[in-house]
Amino acid sequence: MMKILITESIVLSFLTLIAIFPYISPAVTVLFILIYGLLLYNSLNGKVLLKGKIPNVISILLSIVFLSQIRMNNLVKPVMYLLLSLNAIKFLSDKKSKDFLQILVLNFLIVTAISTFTADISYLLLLLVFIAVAVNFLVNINTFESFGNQVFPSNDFLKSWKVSGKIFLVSIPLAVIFFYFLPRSGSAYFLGGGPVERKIGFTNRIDINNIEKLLRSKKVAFRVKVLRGKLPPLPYWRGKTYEIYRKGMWFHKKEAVGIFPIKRLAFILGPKIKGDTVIQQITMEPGSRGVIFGLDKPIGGNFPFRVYATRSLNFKTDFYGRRNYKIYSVRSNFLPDTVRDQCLTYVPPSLKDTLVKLFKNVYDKPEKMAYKLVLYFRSRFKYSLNFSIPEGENPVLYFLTKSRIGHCELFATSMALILRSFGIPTRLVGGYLGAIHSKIGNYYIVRENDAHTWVEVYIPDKGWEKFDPSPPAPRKKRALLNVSLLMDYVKLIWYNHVINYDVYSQLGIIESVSRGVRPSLYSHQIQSKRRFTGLILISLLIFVILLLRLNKRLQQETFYDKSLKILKKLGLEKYPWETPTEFQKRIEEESVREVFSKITTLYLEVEFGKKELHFNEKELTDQLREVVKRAKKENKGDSGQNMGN
Amino acid sequence: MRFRFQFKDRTSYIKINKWGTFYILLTIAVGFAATNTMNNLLYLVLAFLLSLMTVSGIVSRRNLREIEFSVTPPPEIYKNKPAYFVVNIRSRRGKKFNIFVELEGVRQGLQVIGKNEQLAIPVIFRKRGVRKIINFKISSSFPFSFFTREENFNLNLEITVFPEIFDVSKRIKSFRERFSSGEIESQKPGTGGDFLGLREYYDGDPVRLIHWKASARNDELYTKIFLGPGWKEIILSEDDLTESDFEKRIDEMASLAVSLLASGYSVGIKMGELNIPPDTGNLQKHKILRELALL
Repeated sequence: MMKILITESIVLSFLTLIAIFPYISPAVTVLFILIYGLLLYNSLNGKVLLKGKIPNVISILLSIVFLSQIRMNNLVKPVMYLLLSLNAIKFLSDKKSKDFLQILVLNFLIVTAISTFTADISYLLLLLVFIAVAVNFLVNINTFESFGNQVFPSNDFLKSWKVSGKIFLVSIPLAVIFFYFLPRSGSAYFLGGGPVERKIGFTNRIDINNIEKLLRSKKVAFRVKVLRGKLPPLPYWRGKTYEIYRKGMWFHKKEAVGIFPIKRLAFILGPKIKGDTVIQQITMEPGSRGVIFGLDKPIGGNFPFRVYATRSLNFKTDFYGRRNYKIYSVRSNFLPDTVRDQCLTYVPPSLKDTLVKLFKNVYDKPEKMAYKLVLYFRSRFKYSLNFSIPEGENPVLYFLTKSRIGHCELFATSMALILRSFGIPTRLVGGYLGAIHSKIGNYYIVRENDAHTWVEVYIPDKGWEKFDPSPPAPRKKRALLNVSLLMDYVKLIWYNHVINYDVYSQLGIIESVSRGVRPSLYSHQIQSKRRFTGLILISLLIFVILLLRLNKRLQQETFYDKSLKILKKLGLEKYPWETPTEFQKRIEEESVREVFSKITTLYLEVEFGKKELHFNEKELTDQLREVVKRAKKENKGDSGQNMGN
Repeated sequence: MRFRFQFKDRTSYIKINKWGTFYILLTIAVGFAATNTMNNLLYLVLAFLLSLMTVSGIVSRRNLREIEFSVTPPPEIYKNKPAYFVVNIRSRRGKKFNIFVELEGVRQGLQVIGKNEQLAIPVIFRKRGVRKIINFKISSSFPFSFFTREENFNLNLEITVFPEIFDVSKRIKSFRERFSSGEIESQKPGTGGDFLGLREYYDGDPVRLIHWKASARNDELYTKIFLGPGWKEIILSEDDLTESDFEKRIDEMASLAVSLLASGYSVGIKMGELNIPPDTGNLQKHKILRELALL
């Protein structure tokens, strides 16, 4: 028994060690693997290395050392190292049932701490395996605590797994219910969440020298499910606009024109945009830092957001985690807006003169000039990420005059600065271009290397028009393997239904319940209604099956219990420690005993045999009732006669 | 912490163990961390903690439900000697695990209870006399040792604890010597001489004395009685006792009576107001012991 517990505790420890491997240094992992291996060997041989209070003293000293290393930016790692060390010490000392429970708690805390580092679906797998082993471990500890070391023949190990397996399986659906119904708060109470590391995010500025990192990353940026409408063949996903150019960097001009409160759906106020409406459900990976992406041009959404004059959208507060939201867009190249600012025509003076000299022959009306420039860039320049700009050179001038090779950032910056040199208001838009369609789950995947920058030019009387000077990038293989698509779909479900589940989703469920009965014009609503109806039907079916099973059990119980109740009228009561046969033998009235013996036999056959009830039990209970009545009368008669005598 | 639930036929207790309290505190801590960080993975951990707590509650409840038992006391219970109470216990539905049965403070564990299990609980009574065994407990901390559930049943079982029996074989010799001078022929029934007749069977009669034919005819057991070959009749009185303490004197009297009866004597006792005429056999032994127990 002891050996089984030691082996299981080592399995738990190895499991958590493997799980935290990516978050601690490899040297520490190897060190602990060696320590655990050695301790396993020692413990199984019954050797106790540390006796008395020595383990406690070492634990206190280690706690002081590791806890003193805690800093605000390094909170979890020292705690993890401490937990690992304490766990190792537990193996060195003598073990009782409480020590095994302590080992379990230490490993549980490590698994809980890992949740602060990752949001990956692999955590679910870790948690499930850990809980499955932990439940069996707890059941074994309970047996160990109750019966000590002597019990437990080897085949009982499998029996304990059978029992704990059932407990584990029942706990899963219950945990799902708890997960979805545990009340969520709209905001953190004290500490709040920290930023999630990502190679590069959409900040308020773009450094054109530093954009490569993002463009080489194959990570998923967000996933899009089109709820209504159709995406264009090459969708532009609008993110942030950049109006200010200074020292080779673009900056976003923070000028919010409105904040939309938490609502089911809010539309941006402003001039109407003509075009087809597309409704998308977007699942954002962390790192967008509050920027809301949506198909170019967004008109509304179902989240609290802040709108800037340039119609770039932001969450009300900076948001680092994952999020899913619904966004309404209109497919259009124009943004009917009149907002203008001096910064929109600003070019550094030294650069302005050179650019005017270089491009005076293409000067024309804003729209025409923009088209000419797009044509110019697309025909004479090459898109590539493999280029270098010598130190000391101006990246824009080097790109325009010498290399003629670069990424979208250089193309868009160059075009914007050329147009600005001629006094045409221009700004940059940062976002994503294109998407991979996944047949499994019917949604679109937008990756980080789809990040793109294009230009918006102010055309008098029309508004802002979109221009993209970048030639198409030579993309290698766009299609993903089916396995990858399936994995991605699982991830989407995981993020949508687990990681991104929040107070809004909870409210959404309540809302969809109330909306489910109302007729709707929107197809996606109809779809969700169908899904909802399906869910209700499945729940009803499960309910009916459970009810039927319960009813069968109740029938068995009630007919016997009914009979017991009838017998109570005669003052006969079955003691809990009596078997039904014992009770039946105790009945003195012969007629009553005869009928009740039939009931008892039937009850025992149904309860312990495979006999089913065929409703003849009602006849039996009726018979019993009559016999009892008669017996009661006779008793009364007897007592009456006695009294008379 | 202990919660009490009173039912008609039993009283239930739920005790939160040390680790159960720790588990609850841990769940609260994870809940606090989850709401504070809004980390859904912590919510997931919390959901599992709550789910396991609920399942453990349901499992522990089911583990003690639908258990049937019967408690049979041994035919003779002596003071200061373990009396083995036979407990037949079975589960009406499924198997039950890590169950503890407690009778009069004596606990015995059963790792698995299936269709029919039997265990003997040795209970030592320190006082003679009539006792009511009231409390029968079934408890278990299955599955996780977080909570202990306990079902207390009121048995209302009445037993008689006989006086303590100790070795008096040396004293028996002196009795033999007393009879060596002149044996008195007895007309009392015994087991060796001529057949006297039949009587109803009493508990404790030797099986070989059962008259099977008569028993089969009348659907009731009958015992053959014979004329004793040479019955030695002894009436034990207070003069035969050496102990000074009243309790010990009763124990001595019982020990002497039982020993002499076992040696084939016809024994009667006189002690204070108690006067039992001499007789042999198991019935006489029980009569003497019961009367002494109640003295």
